[in-house]
Amino acid sequence: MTLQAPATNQDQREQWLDRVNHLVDQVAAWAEAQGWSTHRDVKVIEERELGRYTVPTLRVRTPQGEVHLDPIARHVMGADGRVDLEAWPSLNRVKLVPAADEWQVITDSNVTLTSPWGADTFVELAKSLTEGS
Amino acid sequence: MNYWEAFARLKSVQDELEAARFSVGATSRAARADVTVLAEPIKPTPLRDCASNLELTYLLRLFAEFEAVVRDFWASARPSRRRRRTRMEVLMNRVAIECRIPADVLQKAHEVREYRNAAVHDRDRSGEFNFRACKSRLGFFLSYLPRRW
Repeated sequence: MTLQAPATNQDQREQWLDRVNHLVDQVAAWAEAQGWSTHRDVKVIEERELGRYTVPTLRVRTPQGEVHLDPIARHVMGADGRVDLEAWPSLNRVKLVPAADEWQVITDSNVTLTSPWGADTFVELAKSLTEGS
Repeated sequence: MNYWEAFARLKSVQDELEAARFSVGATSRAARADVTVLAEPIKPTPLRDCASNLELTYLLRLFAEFEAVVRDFWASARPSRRRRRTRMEVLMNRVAIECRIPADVLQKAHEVREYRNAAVHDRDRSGEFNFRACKSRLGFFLSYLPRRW
């Protein structure tokens, strides 16, 4: 049995960027399949361990309002990364955290959704997050 | 201040609430397992009260940030040499006229203001608003402000 060397910071950053890029592509495709317009942008994240790097962001315009896919950081407490899916201007949001090969959805009250991350879950979330209170 | 900074202020309160929830939750769990982790003078009861009042505490902070944004906007939209302390109710109505905020959006933001006032003055609070609902209502109000002021 060989021991696997721990990932270097550069490896971690690349793996994180791959996951985020894939997520943004995935959500853009799901949104466009609904006929919702999307807008890609980038933002800079600075983390002590990974330095400064650029990540993609995505804005989706639904009939009820906008949702933003906003990567927060790779190093967060309790997870190996976090991306927020946030509605605007309600600021309602859920957090997406990596779990094995997919993403787990965690609400603001720290409840993990049981529905698996996928197109249906995204569409459902986009609708409920954009609703006013 | 600009529009995005205004929203960032509301979001920062949400992040603080989450951090506080996490910390109080972790401490409460640790204290349940071993009460000696609570050094004097912290007792279990205030810790429980802290947990149950957390949303309300941060709701007051949220409204304070909202008020700061609205006052900042108004000071820029209607500059005055005198220091003003217009009542928030009046100020929100004036901003609503200035920014053409729909009546239902204004009304929902007023309900948050009334709820916050009732909480501060320990009056009966009609209707229970959670943090999420308040943030959403205040966010909708602010979304009608101009991009720059």
